[in-house]
Amino acid sequence: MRTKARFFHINPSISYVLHRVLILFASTILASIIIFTILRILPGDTATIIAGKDASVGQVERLREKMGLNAPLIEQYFEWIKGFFTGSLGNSAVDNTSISASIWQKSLVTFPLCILSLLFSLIIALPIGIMAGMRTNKQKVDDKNRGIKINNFNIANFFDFILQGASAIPALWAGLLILLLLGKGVGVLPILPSQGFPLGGFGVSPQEAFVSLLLPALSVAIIVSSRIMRVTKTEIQKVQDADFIRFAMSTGKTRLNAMLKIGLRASGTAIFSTIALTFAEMLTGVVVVEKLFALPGLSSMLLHDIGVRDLIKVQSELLLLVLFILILGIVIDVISSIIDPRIGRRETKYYAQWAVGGFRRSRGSRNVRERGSA
Amino acid sequence: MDNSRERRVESAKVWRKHVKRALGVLGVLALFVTTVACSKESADGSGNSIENADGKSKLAIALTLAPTNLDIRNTSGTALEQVLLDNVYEGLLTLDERNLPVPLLADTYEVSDDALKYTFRIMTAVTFSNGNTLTAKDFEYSINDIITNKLKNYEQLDRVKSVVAQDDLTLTIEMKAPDANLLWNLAGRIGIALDRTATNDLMNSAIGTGPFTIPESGWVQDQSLTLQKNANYWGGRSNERAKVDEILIRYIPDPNAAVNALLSDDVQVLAPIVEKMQDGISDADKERFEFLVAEGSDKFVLAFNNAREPLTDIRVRKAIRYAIDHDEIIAARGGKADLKLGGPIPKLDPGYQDLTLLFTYDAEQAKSLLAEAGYNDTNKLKLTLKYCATVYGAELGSILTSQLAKVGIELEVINVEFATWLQDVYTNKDYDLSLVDHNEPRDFSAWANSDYYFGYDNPKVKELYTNSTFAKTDDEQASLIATAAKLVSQDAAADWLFNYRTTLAIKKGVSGLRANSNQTRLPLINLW
Repeated sequence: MRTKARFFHINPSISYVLHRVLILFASTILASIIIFTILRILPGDTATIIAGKDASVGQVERLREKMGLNAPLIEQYFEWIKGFFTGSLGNSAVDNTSISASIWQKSLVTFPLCILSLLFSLIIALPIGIMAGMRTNKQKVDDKNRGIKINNFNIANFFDFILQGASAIPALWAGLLILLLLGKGVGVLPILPSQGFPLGGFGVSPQEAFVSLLLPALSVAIIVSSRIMRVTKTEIQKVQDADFIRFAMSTGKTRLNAMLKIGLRASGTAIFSTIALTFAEMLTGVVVVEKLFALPGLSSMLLHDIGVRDLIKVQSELLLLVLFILILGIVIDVISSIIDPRIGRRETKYYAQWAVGGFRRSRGSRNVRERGSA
Repeated sequence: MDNSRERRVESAKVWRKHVKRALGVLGVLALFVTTVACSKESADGSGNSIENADGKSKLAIALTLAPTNLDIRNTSGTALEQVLLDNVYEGLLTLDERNLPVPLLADTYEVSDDALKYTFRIMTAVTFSNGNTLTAKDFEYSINDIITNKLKNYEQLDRVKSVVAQDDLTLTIEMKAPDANLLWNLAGRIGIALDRTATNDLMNSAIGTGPFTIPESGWVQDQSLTLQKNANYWGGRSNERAKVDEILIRYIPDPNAAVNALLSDDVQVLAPIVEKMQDGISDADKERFEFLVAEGSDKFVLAFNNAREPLTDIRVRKAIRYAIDHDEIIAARGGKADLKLGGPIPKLDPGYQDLTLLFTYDAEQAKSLLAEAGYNDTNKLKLTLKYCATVYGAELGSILTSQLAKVGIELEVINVEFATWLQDVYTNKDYDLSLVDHNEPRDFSAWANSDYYFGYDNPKVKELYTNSTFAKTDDEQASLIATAAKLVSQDAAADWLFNYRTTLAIKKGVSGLRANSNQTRLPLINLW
């Protein structure tokens, strides 16, 4: 009891981290059970797929035996989860190649694709979002001062309108349009590869690999940028009447300068978490684009593996994805508290109080207040 | 002092601004230059095959359907035979352009008069890609392995009594009973030679005697297969080696992406190109390619569950066949390549005859048959169609729905993925109608097997088919199968929507590709 108390006494933020790691671990286990069970409900299995539409019943049964599909489910689960946590994902049930190798290979397509898409969408969304958010206020001021509307049209609102429309475009359609504009062999300005990814990837031909991701990234960016833009716009609108902006302007900053230096940071957490969540969503959300551009990425692999019922592979892929998103959540929290220190303090304070509460019950209430506010 | 400091700060600010701007402009420029450079680099391939920096000639082919894995001994599907047979693996016999067996690794062969003993003389000086020499022992091992372990297609060896290597170059196969299909079957995957000492993983690698080898990690599941020229190839029947050093086979299921790959010269052959996609190609682009319509054994079968109510009633089955307007279906798919098919045998297979006139489109006939069977407007016939719409096209389901609606049949389309189809339709036979492209050549046996998912059971057909397997001559076999096929069609055991003929798009200047049956066997040795 004493060691526990001392532990919390020394550093509440360690207990916070520890708590997060415990939650992470528990969620992973829970997710693994859900994934494993749901996948087993799917009709058909790898053996039937391999034996195909001219197979006898005996053949399927023999394959099942050979592939170990007849082993008790509990046994299969524990074998998998043990392998997962010891870092050996095993081999694909379909072609016996290393699962971790192929996940790694596909990640080297999907992650660059998502990062590039995100980059593009930030380039599109942030300036428009900020401008659109500010302009509305300027108009409001104008209206109030002069009692008349002077100009309904401004360029930011125009882009805002276009982007709202773009968010409604299906990815497939956006991709096709972009192909018709820039795709090699088909486009009006045929300069960028229309599909495919070099076999060796970034390791062998980085230039080619990079270029082949440009069009897919652009089509993803067009669609996701509207969401980032909308959040930026509302957040900017929210902070621009805040006191700290007025204070900043009183030091001689222009409104724009104050908004960029201080307003953006204040609204940064919301924008940042939207960006991070969009990224997480992209990892599996780009499947249509991957298909259209024939990119060998994570999401098309996942779809294929589910199709051939390579459950051993699918469950590891899904669990890794879950793990990634959970860790991303922690990263978002940490980075948010750096962007906006108020958040971090509140969070750690909460956990500190929670920890100290436990301590108080066991040790009495000496010095609690001091520690709580430390 | 203060003033100069301020000035310095000012000038630093200005400088920073300039540097920032310059960097931005440079970045954009760099992006543009790399883009243009890259696009130029790969647009150069104007010859037949692309010469690489290392002096190797390369070609790329786009196919649609990827094999599940490379396991020739367990994995079903023609996608596997298409790329591996004659390219990586070779057998005693192979199939020629007309789909007839001709010797390959067997120098000569003899069949005894009672058709109970086959003697094959094996070619000398043939080596596997791992360096081992091929002997009759390898065939003895390969074929016996299939029989004892009941590997893929072991049923085709049912009548084999023994397979024995008499010496290094002589293989005898003794039969329990004659089998008219044996030679043709031996030209398929059961007749290939595997090295009996090799221990490679058949699921992702292959060691054979063929003109190509698969390099380490040349197989990428669902993506591509790399074939490299086998420098030590024995030369085949015409004593030649592969003409191209490396062939990349890319699997592109998306028809758009496949056509884009072709147009941007990332692949030089597209097999097949979706018929409708040709309309989107400009005339100038069309000039760059040759389009070939190839004969093939793809049969789009609208399967009826003959063993389940109400399709046990022949009047219902016939009504459906009368209600289907095949011309409309073929026209909807493009209209130039697909052929009408009135029965289970396509043109290339033995026993083909034109059966398209047995059931011509006749809505009135269909209605009266349905009325006879007790269905009318108040008691509508309701059926479900379970099929993989993403593979075979959603338009087929909607055309069938509207055609059947015209005669008063309510069709509900259920889209399933292949694994579910295998479970529900193939294994559990839980379906009314289904739709599958049965692309295997010579697969009439399905109609003589009442356990198959068609649930079709006609003793007369069974007898005729069994007799055909004992036939002494090819003609006799063909006529027996033709008679049986006509019976199957008359019974309206299914409807054969069309014979899907693939269209190949080949870049002009590229030659040596065999078009016929390219979806089941695609020999690439002469590709250039």
